[in-house]
Formats: sequence, C-alpha cells, structure tokens
Amino acid sequence: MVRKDNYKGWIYLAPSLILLAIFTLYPLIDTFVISFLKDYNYLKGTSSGFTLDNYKALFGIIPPPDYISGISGPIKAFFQYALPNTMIITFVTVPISIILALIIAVLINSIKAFQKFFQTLFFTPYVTNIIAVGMVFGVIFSHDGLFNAIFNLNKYWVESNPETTYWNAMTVIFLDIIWYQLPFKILIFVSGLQGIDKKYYEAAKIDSASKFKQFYKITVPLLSPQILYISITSFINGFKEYQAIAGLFKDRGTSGNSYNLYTVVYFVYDQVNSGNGESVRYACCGAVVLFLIILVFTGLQFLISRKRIYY
Amino acid sequence: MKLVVKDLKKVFEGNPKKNIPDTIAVSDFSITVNDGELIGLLGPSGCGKSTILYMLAGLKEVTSGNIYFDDEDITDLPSEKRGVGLVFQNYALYPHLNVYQNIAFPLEDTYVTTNIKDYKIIFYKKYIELLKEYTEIQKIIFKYLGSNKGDSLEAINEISFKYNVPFKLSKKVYKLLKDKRHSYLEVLSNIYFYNEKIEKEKNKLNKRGYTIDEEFNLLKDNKILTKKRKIAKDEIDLEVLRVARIVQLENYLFRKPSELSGGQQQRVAIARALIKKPRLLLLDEPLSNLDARLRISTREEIRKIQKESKVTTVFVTHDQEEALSICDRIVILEKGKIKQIDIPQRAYDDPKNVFVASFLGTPPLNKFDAKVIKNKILVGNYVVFELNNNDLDGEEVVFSVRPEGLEITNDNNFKYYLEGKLDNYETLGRDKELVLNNEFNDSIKVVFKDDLVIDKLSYKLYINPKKVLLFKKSDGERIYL
Repeated sequence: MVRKDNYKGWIYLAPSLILLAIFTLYPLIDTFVISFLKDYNYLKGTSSGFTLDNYKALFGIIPPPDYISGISGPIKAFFQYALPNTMIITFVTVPISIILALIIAVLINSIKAFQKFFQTLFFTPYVTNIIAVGMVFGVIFSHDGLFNAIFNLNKYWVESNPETTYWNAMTVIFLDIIWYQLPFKILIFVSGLQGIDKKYYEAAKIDSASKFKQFYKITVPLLSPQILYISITSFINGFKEYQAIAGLFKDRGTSGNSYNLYTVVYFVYDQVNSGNGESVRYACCGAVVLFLIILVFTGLQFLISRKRIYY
Repeated sequence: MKLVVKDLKKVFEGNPKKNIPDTIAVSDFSITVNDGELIGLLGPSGCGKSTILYMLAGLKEVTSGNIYFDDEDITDLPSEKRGVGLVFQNYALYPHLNVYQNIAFPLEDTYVTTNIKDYKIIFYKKYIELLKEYTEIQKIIFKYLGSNKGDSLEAINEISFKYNVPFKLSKKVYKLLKDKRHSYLEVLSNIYFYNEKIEKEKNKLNKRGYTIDEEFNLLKDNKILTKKRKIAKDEIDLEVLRVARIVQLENYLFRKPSELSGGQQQRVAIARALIKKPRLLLLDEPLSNLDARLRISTREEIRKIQKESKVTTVFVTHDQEEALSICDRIVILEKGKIKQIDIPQRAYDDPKNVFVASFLGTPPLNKFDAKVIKNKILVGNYVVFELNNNDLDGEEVVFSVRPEGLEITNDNNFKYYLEGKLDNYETLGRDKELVLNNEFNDSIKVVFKDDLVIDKLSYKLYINPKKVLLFKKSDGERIYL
C-alpha cells in the first residue's frame, strides 16, 4: 500500500540521506564535473569552461600544460604503466585467489577435527592491516630476507635497485594481494558450502560420482551465487589496488624515479596529494576512467551470470 | 537379487565425557529378501528403520553383522560399488540440473565393457529408418510448429520417445523435415546418400581386415572384439528414455525440479535410482512429502514400477497403510529389533506380540489389563472371556479386542460385555467410530453401526470372542487361544 503522507519515513531517513548526499553523492558528481573543467585550480576554485583537454592529456594525445611542475612524469605513466598494471594485477590475482579460496574452503569443509581452528587460522589475515602486511612481505622478500634464504636465491624483489626487475616486483605484489584476499573469500565459500544439503553428496555417492565429479557437478553450481558475489567484489577491489604497493615499496617503481609500479588509484592519490591545485583535475579524470572500467566489468559479469548462476 | 542380512547391529557411540551413553539403534536384525520382492520396514519414529536402509546403502557403517547380495558379502563395500539405488525422503534432486540431467547423472563418466560396434553404421541405419517414416514424423513436427518457443524441443522429444532414438538423431531428422517444402524425392535422395555412406564405411572396414555381423559387432578373424570405454551420450539418451517411460515423465525431461509437482519430483528420484539397473532399490519414506491423495496413487505406481523392473526393493515407512497396501512382506520394528516379519494380512490378523497388534490397524486395538482366575479372564469385576482350561490360572494378561470386535447391540449373541461411558464421536469418512471410556481404558474405540441410536450416556460393549487377542503382561508375547 502506498500512502501519500509518508513524510515520517523521509524524516527517519533524513540523517543518513543528508550525510550520503554531502559525502558521497556530491563528491561523485563533482569528480565528473571537475574532470571536464578547463584550467581548474582546486585551491583557488577557478576554471575557464568545459573541455576534453584533461582526458586528452591523460591519454597522451596532447601534452599536459607546462606550468604545472612535475606533472608530465605521472601523466605519461598513467597510460604507460598505471592502466596496464591495474589490469594485470586484477586479472592475475582475482582468478588465482578465487580458485585457491574455493579449494581451501572445500578442504576445510571436508575435515571434521580442527575445522573451527583452521577456519580461524585462515581468517586472521583479514583482520590485519594491509600496509602492515605489505611491510612484512617487504621484509620477507628483501635481499637478505627469508625468501631468498629458504630458496637459496640472490635476487632483488622489493628494493629500489637496478637489479630489481619489473616482474620480480610484480610477483611479490601478486603474492601479497592473493594472501591478503584469501580469507574473506574462504569465509564466504565455507559458509556457502555449509548451506549445501549433505543429501546431494550422499545421493552422488550412491550414484558412484567421483569426488572430482561431485566438485564440479554439484559444489560449483550450487555455490555459484557466492562465486558471483566474490568475483564481482574482488574485481572491483582488484581495480582499486594501491595499498599493497604502497606497503611493499617505498616508491612508485623499482628504481628511483621510475613509475613502473603505478596503478590507477596510486595515480589518483598522487595527484590529489601533490599539493598544487592544478593536478586535481587529472586525478578526477583517472577516477572517472576507473569508474567506467569497473562499470563495464561488473556489467559483463552480470550478463555472464544470467546463464551460469543457479539460485 | 537375493538380499540376506545376518545379525546386523548398529551402535551410535556416545560421549562418556558428556555423559551421553551409547545408543543401540539396531540389533539382531536378520532377514532374507527374495529376488524381486518388495519388503517394507515399518515402525514408529526412531525404531532404526532408516538406519538399516542407510547401512544397506553403505552410507552408514555397520557395527557388526553381515550383508550379502546374493552370495557376495558386501558389508564393507563402499556404497558406490554396491549397485544400489536410493530414493531419499526429500528426493535430493540436484536443483541446478533438469530432469534429464538428474536422471542421467549416475551414468555420466561411467565405464562399460562392450563389444566394439560400428556406431556410424548404426547411426546411419537408424537415420534411414526414421526417414522412411517421414510422413508420420512430419505430422509430429507440424503439430508443435509455431505453437511455442520450445516447439522444436517438444517435437524432438516426441520423436525420440516414439522411435526410441537418441536426441542427436531426432534433432537431425527434425532439421531436415521441419521445412514443409521438402518433398518425398529429397527424403529419397537422403536415404540413397546414407545407404552409400554405409557401403563406403563397410568397404573401409573390410580393407582393414574387419567384418561386421548383423548386430553391427566388429569382428576380426571371426572373433568379436571388446573394449572398455566411457558410456556414450547416445546410450545415455536411450537409457533415460527407458526409465522416463517407466515413471511416465516423457513430457518433463527438460524441466528443472522446481518446476515439477511433488509426485513428479518423486518419480524423477525413482528414475534416477533405476537408471543404473540397481541390484537393490531402497526407498526412504518416499511418500511422506506428498498429500494424501497423491500418496495413494504414487504408492500404487511404485508398486507397478517395482513389478515391471523386477528389482528387489526395501521400502521404509512409518505409515502402516502404505506398508500394508503395497509390500509383499512387512518387517515391523520396535527400538531396533524385529517384532514380526510376515505378509501384511497375516501380520494384522495374527500378530505375534502386543506391539505389532497395537501398531497395526486403525482405529487401534483396545487393550485392557486383565487377570486370569481359573479359566476366566477378568477385567476388573467383569468376566470378559472364558478359556478352555485352567493353565493360565493367576496369570496377568493383556486382554485386547479390535474395534470391530466390540459391539453395541440389543440382540445378545455374545455372552460377555464391558461397560463404557460415551465420550466422543469421530467420522473417518467411510467409517465412523465411537470413543468411550471406563476405569480400565480411557479411550475405547468402537466401530459405529448406522442403525445405532445414540440416546444414552453409558453402553454395554459386547465382546466378539473371535476378535479377541491375548498377550502376556510380562513380555507382551501372544497367548494363543
């Protein structure tokens, strides 16, 4: 029943709606607007009309204005490093962590003794700060660190050093992100698995289905809602990756003034944080680009899920 | 297959730390079920009947005792190797698979050892046979054409069922014949073309030194060749068609379980249990999720399916009507022990103990604690029965009469009676019953006769001596009169 005098409802909602409008909706719209403003200065609040120049500069079609100091490096790196890195990190870490989490969840679910213990154990990384995790990984992968010692290697992984190769650094980034992302996924999958009726497995056993067949014919389809949820959220998180790199490396790249470990959010953060009011509009452009990427991928996943998901 | 169970026992271990004692769910369970027999395990909740079923299926471990399928001891064999079919109480159909996939599930990825046949030739031959029926098949196709989006699927389904061919083949025929313009000549040219193909295939085989017999077996030096291989999709099709026919699910193969009624879901579960041609079919309260009317028709169907497939079947239920109506023999259980094994009518007429007598029959048996003095049985001060001798003098007994054995009547055919006060009147459809009470039993059930006028509060209940059952008070065993 729809009543016209529903003002009471609106009054109850008002506090959160006002806060949302001020701190979420307005900044969102403002970001879009700023990204199209010509010569916008964040500190002065001045601009001279709308333009596409900010985007053109970001994608290297026109050079950025030379009166902004130190902007050309990051802007160049956006297209050269930040976008590809963001994609690589997402498309490597998300599938691997989902598959690993699924396997671990099935194993945890299949044991009887110590199940709660392992569940807790695998969940602990989630309550740890990612910067702290990154720093610990940084210690493990330092030149005289644990990893080199165990495998008897003499490689540079995370130091700012000419011998630290791009892929060495990326490998550590992958490991760090996967390790940090596993717990939440495992938690969701284990709770999903516990919701599947045991009768299906008994029936499958009677029908002499192998463990593997039970996994891909019963477990995976019945877990598909959770898999969809996890894959959408982790793709979004993957595209937003930045903290892991900030925690692992002291810099944006493997050597002094390189930007080769840049990601989109890292770029956005840098431009907002640069202290000069001119570069904020490029940060907004980066954010809008990221928004569009996430929009497209989430849409794609929903399209795929229509056929594949059983509810 | 003959099922023999010897001294089966199941103990669920308790937890001494938490003061939970061991539970003996089943003990001394021995039974022989003959080939093709339908046997019912009947008992109240918690009597261990489902536990027995799961031990037969191999889903629960046996504490002690042995299970034999024919002469093979399968006590320790894992369930997947036993060749049993199990229908679960809630069916446990895979919700994400359609009926076809559910039924086919047990056959997928299984290996069979068969004669090597030339499947190409079989396929072509079948195709030609179908083309020869092309007027009939076109009738089927045009019946569905244009009616719906799923029309092609329905037509293909009907062709497959009618001519017993795999879906791949009926699809191929459908594609050729759905076009109205196809003339007889085109069908003929197709037949000619595939006949040529068969000849070519035969020549090719002959060159490699093989010959083919009339059943399309491949022969080398007059010896039939065999091979172990994965079961083919077309073979699964035919098996699904076979069981779908038995359970009458021809028109529902491509629906999801959620789109089926309870009775249909149950038939899918039976089909899934039957497709592997199990040695033993196990049914775990298969009717408990159905409404009363569907229950009656479905139980008759189960009976029919079981007789057609001739598979040895164990049927678990707590509903005596179900067990009595369809089982060849019933096993009545109490607290994990067999109380009686008998054919249904005899278990009712001739119960061996007070448990069986009071468990079977609706309305239930009327029981009275009684004492034997010399040759007379006394319920309180009422003499209710006279024995032939004094053997039982002084014994405590349970005197019981079926509801139809107590009569409220004016013509005194019967010598002995009890008195009861009218309490209630219940309508059970065809039957009506009176509930009375007295100081010995507060719920005496009497079958109501239509000519009776209810005008008093207290009635004399005359006892028909032929309907009297007598049991020992001490152990509940029957005393034969």
